[in-house]
Amino acid sequence: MTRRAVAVRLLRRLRPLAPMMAVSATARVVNQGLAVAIPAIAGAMLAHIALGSPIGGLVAVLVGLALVKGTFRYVEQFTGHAVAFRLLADLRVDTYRSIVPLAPAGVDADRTGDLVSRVIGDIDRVEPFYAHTIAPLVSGISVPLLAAAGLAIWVDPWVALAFLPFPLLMVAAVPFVRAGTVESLTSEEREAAGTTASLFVDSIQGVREIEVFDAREAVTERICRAEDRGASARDRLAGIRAVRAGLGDLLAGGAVLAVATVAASRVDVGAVDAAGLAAAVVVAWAGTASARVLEDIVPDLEEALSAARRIFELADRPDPVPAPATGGPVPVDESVGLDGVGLTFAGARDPALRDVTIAVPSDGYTAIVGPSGSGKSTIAALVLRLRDPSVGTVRVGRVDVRSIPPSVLAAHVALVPQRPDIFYGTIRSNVLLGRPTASDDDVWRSLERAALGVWVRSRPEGLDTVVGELGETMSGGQRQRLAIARAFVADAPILVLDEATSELDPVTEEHVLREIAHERATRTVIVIAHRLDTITDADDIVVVDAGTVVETGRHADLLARHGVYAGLWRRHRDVLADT
Amino acid sequence: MPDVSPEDAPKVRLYRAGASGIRLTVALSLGRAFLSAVGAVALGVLVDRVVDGDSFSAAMAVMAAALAGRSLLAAFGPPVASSTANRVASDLRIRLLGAALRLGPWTGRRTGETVNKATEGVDSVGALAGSFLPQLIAGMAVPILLAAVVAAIDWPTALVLVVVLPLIPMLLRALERRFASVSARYRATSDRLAARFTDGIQGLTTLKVFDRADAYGDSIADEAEELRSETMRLLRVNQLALLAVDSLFTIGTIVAAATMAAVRLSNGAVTLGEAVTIVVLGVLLIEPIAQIGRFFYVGAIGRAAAKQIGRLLGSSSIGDPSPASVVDDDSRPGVVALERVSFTYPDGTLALDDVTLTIEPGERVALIGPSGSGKTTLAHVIVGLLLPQAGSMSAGGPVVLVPQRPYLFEGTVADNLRLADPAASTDRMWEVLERADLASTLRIRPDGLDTRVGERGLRLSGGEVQRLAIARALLVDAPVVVLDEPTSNIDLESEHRLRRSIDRLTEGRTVVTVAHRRSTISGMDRAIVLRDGRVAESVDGADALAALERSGRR
Repeated sequence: MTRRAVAVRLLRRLRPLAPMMAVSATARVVNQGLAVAIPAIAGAMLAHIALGSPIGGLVAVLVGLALVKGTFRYVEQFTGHAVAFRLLADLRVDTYRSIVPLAPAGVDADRTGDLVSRVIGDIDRVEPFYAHTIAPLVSGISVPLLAAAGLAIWVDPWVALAFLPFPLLMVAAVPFVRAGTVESLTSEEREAAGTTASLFVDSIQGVREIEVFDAREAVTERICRAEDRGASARDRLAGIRAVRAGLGDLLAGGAVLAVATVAASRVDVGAVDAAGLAAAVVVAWAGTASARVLEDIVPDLEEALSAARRIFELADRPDPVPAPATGGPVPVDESVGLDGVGLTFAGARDPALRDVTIAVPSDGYTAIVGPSGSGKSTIAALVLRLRDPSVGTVRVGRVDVRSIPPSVLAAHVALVPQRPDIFYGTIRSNVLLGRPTASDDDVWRSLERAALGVWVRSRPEGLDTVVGELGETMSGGQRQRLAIARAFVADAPILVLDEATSELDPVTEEHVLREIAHERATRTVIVIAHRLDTITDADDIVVVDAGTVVETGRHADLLARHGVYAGLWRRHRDVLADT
Repeated sequence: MPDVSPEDAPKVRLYRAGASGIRLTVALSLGRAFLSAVGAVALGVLVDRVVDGDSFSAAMAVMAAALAGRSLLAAFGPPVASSTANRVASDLRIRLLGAALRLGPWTGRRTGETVNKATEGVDSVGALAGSFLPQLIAGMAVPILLAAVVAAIDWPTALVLVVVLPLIPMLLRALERRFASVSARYRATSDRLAARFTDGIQGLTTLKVFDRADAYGDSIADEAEELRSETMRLLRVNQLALLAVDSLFTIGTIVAAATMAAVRLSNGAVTLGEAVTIVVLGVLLIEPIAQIGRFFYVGAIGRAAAKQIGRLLGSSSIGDPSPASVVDDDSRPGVVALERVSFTYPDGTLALDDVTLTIEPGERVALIGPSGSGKTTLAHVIVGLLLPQAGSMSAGGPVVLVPQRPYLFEGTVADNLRLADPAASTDRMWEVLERADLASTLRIRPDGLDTRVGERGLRLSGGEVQRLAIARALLVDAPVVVLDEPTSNIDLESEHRLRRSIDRLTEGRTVVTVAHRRSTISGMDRAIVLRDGRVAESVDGADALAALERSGRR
């Protein structure tokens, strides 16, 4: 996407707010224009006072103009903020909406954490485009033009002509001095900053290893090296800014000298009087200030454009699991079937799943076990259609999931993931995600069954207890139980639990598992188990290893086979439960 | 590293590395203001001479020289600001790293996050020191300088300005405070919205599974709109301050200067040229606010970050109170002896209570006991990660640790090995990889030793991470190995290889294992059963499981 295309797309978003933006820019022009006009008028009137005019009029005019100037500053800031806040809010919501179809399959390449921080950071970086670019740009160009026009009308066209080249150069040339180098240095600086940050995070998380291997100095030195790289890029950037600042200042001084010289010669020929001379030199002195602001804007603008480009590129990605056209078949029962399913992640050499065939009948209780990394969770993701298989078919209720409308599938299958997502809000709102229409009684009942009722009741605010940012106020076990309560309240005919009780203590785990066992009578349950002793009574145990099904059967049969399951079981018995 | 004593902990000098840079920037600002004033005076002389029809070339030359000099000083500004910012940021980053390392292994997840957050703020504190602070100081000093120049032309005008001028810093302060309170409130609410947004993206899978993704989007939109209209309501009133400040500033500087110039001009006390100079000096007076206005954002963000960093550095500078004696006993390589050792965590938990034990060279010992009994703490004390508050400990030679979840650093396999031995040769690295049963896996990868492990070792399998940690430990010629046994998050084949490589690592060394498996425990020479931070029993490996049952498992 070219820079122009990005800018056009950003500007298009501005269209509904264009009138407000115009008000803001105009107000800024008036404010900055008065910053030039007030001293210029003062200068001109001084010359008249020298000839005997009264002072009262001068003071009244100047105070009045100062008040007008302040008012327009207020208007500019207020409308500018109004535009920026509105656009930022919209940009956030729109970005969220454009990511919805992508998660999680479409964002595999970027790890979710990175994606989040990047998107949020990028949205913030787009802000200057709207808030601090357009109005200063407009006033930076138009105020010097207005000042020149004023000089031409009230003083002398030659004086205006002497003035004009300086602000024009300040706007059109100075901000672009060595622009290419600035661009490459900026990205170098950014990259170095990223390296420093990740080295830092690494050092803090690996502090134990650093200590054990006595590597403090080596680590510190490594960070310093990365820092030096960033610092040297920043210093070189500052060097370019120095040239720009010096040039800008030189042009500002040049404007004063040129205007003074030309105005003096016009006084000589009688074309300009003392008032005109005084006004002209003051305009020359004050009239270039607004043009200098552009030096500071250009770098922000570059950054805003590249941030916007990343956002747009994300938003433009195709939907990896496209929803079927409206209508479509509805699941006819509560069975789940995988038929010759294979899946290879983008960029991976080996398939994550190979020729997986699993049949779970309605109201069946199936356990999927295997070492970590064997592909168990991927199977759950396929059933929920969080991604589609590369080959084979996944069926829910005997219908290919690709043809089931998302809302129907969501109502049919509930998932409890290993690391549940807790949302900023109350306990109630988190449970209600499962089924928004559930009553408080339903919510309490599912909390009780998920062994979280006692804890919630112990909180003074009960269901209205706010669970903090990213559920940070809750322990891992509490989060898991909240997610289980959410699944209970959802009341879906198929329940998928992906190591859902891994962080519970044995007693609580047993209680929750009993409740889940209770579900088996009325619905299909698929359990991905981390501890084998919790699933010994499953109707069917599917043993997965390295992406493929190696054994299936009941606990006793699998033990008798002395295969992979028997090996896992032996290890399971070897590990002490509570150490 | 010079340590800060607890007494001056609250006074953390955040900008110490940038002090001279800040002074230089202030000096540059003052120099620029002075040369501008010289230019303004010359301009006034020029006006008088032109009006009188005299030659004005001398005045023009002075003005040109002054303005050119000013440009030169302007060009020095960015480099000085940048190097100040770099120095302050770099200094703070190193100090934060020092703090994190000093807090050491009990740098919990939360502390880690705090340090991360603070680190992100380091650059904004640098910017604060590089641009905002010196501008603020110059903003106070420049008006005084300009008033002095006015006094040289006409002292009554200077007198009036001196009365009005103190308003400038006061107004600046008021505006800043005003801005800070608005921005704090805005930040609080917008942080909440950002949290909702983050939750939404991070929890998108859950939202989709329950078909709530669109509804959640709507609720974010509603909340964003609410925040926006609330903020605008707030700003509508708050920004009236801006109206007042802008107007009063213009009145207090340009209008006041022009009025006085007019009065004195009509009295014949000053010439027209001098009056013009006074007006231009009035224009110069207003510059600080324009400058500072531009940096307000920098100021507000930098200050918030500075507060956070200051708190962190302040809290971490409180050192350990007289740790117990810990000595290296080179006379008996491989021996570990603890004498009445106690350890209490900063939160007050007593984790080890008067522990005395001796492990002979070459002995293989299992540490067992219920969770929370002090096994891991004891292992960390033996390694030297935790310094006990009481008792004494001696170890015969270096002690190496293989944790349950080893940490790999972003970089290559070789980078991670060199952490243990920066001078390790390629041959030596292959040798330890061989012994850790990882060499064959790496040889078939195109990059060999330069294979990237990925962030947090994510590109390697669980078993490979463990074996790389063992290879790393093998590089250290330590007579004592402390091992926190992995439980079961790897496949059976990897587990088999891991066992083999652990055997090679521990061969001929003193071994202390935090044991989680029956088979491991029964294979040890001795098992030390811990309960509530005390040694409950010390028994033969074969009898250990029974002892563990006896020690009262929950």
